Amino acid sequence: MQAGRAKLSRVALVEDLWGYLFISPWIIGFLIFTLGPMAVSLYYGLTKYEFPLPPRWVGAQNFIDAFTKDTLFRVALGNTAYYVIFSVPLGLAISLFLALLLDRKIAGRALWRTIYYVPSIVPVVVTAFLFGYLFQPEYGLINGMLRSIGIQGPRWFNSSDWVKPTLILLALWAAGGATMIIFLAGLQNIPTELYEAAMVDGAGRWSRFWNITIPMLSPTIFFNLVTGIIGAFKVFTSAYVATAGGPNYASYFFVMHLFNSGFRDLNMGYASALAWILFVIIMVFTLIQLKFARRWVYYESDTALF
Amino acid sequence: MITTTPVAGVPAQRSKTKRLTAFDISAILLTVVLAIIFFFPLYWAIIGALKRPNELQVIPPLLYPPNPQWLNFVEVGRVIPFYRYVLNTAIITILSTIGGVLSASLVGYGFSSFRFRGRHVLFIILLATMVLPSEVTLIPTFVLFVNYLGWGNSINPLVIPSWFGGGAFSIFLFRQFFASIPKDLNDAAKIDGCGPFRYYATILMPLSVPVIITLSILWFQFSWNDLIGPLIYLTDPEKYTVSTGLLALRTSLSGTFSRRGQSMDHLLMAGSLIGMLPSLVIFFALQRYFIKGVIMTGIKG
Repeated sequence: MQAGRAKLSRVALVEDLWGYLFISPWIIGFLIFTLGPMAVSLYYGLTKYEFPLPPRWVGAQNFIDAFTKDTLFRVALGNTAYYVIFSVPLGLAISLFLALLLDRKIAGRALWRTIYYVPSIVPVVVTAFLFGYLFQPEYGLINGMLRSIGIQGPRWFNSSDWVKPTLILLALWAAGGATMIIFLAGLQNIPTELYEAAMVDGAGRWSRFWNITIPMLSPTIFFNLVTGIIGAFKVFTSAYVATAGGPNYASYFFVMHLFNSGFRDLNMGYASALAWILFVIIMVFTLIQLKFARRWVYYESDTALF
Repeated sequence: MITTTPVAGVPAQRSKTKRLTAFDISAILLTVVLAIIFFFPLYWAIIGALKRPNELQVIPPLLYPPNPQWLNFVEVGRVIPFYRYVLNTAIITILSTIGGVLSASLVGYGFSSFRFRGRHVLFIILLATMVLPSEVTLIPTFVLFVNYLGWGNSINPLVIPSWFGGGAFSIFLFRQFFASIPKDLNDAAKIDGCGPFRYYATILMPLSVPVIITLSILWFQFSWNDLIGPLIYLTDPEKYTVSTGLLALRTSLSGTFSRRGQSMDHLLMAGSLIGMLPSLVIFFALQRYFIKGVIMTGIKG
């Protein structure tokens, strides 16, 4: 009995050693590149840190400034909210639609799938250039086409009303296929027997979609929703390249404000405070979604990611 | 009765596969129209890269290059050392992809195969980092790398972090895949005296080829297309990558424009096309495994 327990704990110790040995790259990386910097970032956020001069403690001043003095902060937050609200639902709907189109016995399925996915491979810098030409108000193809049917097209990237919708179109093109692939994987995991049984019961296409596809796909929808919202809050590269935040700050997003504060103005303390505000906003949104997930997300097993 | 059933079944089957409803037709039409929309900007990049000066600015737009200029791809390397930037990017991308995939597989193996204490808590922490915006660590890591380690204008900040676990998503995929491999295999290997490292290297890795390829493609794209990293760490023009190089090319070409009044945007398109080519080639060569890998690992939430 005594010997058995000793042997058991020795086995457990060996398991511990092997386990920790294999995960040690992540543990070290997590401490050095994630946990440590997060704590330091919070500290910097409470200092005036004009790089490369050393940081100087100012308490909550950066946070107070952000919410009371900094008008660009409010502009950036508003633009980002607009972007999140429109780009995420549209992106999910279009990607799901593409996946449903390809989840059928259609000729050349692999080809269509590739065509929808390829824009996701294109560097965002290139995508921003391309959309800049296509949506150029005078010689761009889009307005040329609109002109040929007698419509005077908007000024797209050059208009403060249209710049955000244009960037959302860019994102739909650039990311639609990647989200579609995840939806396709989810759709292929739905057992066909469910549809067959529903058809025997006389359920129509629409009813099968709402009562089988959507509930069975809900974990995938949830995954894409959570990652989509996070990604949309972090929008930066497309606007940085295509518009540099303009015209008149209409595409000036949160991360651009953070980037400019930190790396253009070298105001690292303020930029760190902005980073923490972004972090808190994203956490709140994610936790709200996790809380509501129980109501609509259907899990078969407990291997779920979230 | 019994003998007639299969006979009757044949024409019924055939008519079922042949009959296209209005719904099917509209679905096919939509698939094709959407494919044209998704492909068109790429077509625009290809023909743009072959145009002559000012031809990108013609009204109405030219839908094809009247005189394809293949030397544009040479010319772009004369304006700025663009091919050098391609090489810089390739070095960074290859090193970080290997590091990310290799270390993620080790960590994923650790989480899937050993019942060490604290593994549940650690795994939840790992998953939580997936929703963590990287911006929150951006400034302290910049200060650490540039100020304390002297890694400004070095590729280290863009390569070394990936060797430490390769990110939660990669680890998660490996763990899910390893967990789906029957435990008996591990037990049998143990009885044959196969240690954990050998089991990992000789049995698990060969089985994980689709996962390795899927993650390599994702890592490659992520690293190749990254802008913010090269933008803050590689400020020396010698060290530019494709992303920052293209921005420099745009600036340089608009300088030419204001000097000569001639639009050189076709060269920007030529650079863009070269810049995306490696990702495209890798994707097309490996896409069979990629799709399989995505489905196999069941990325689903």
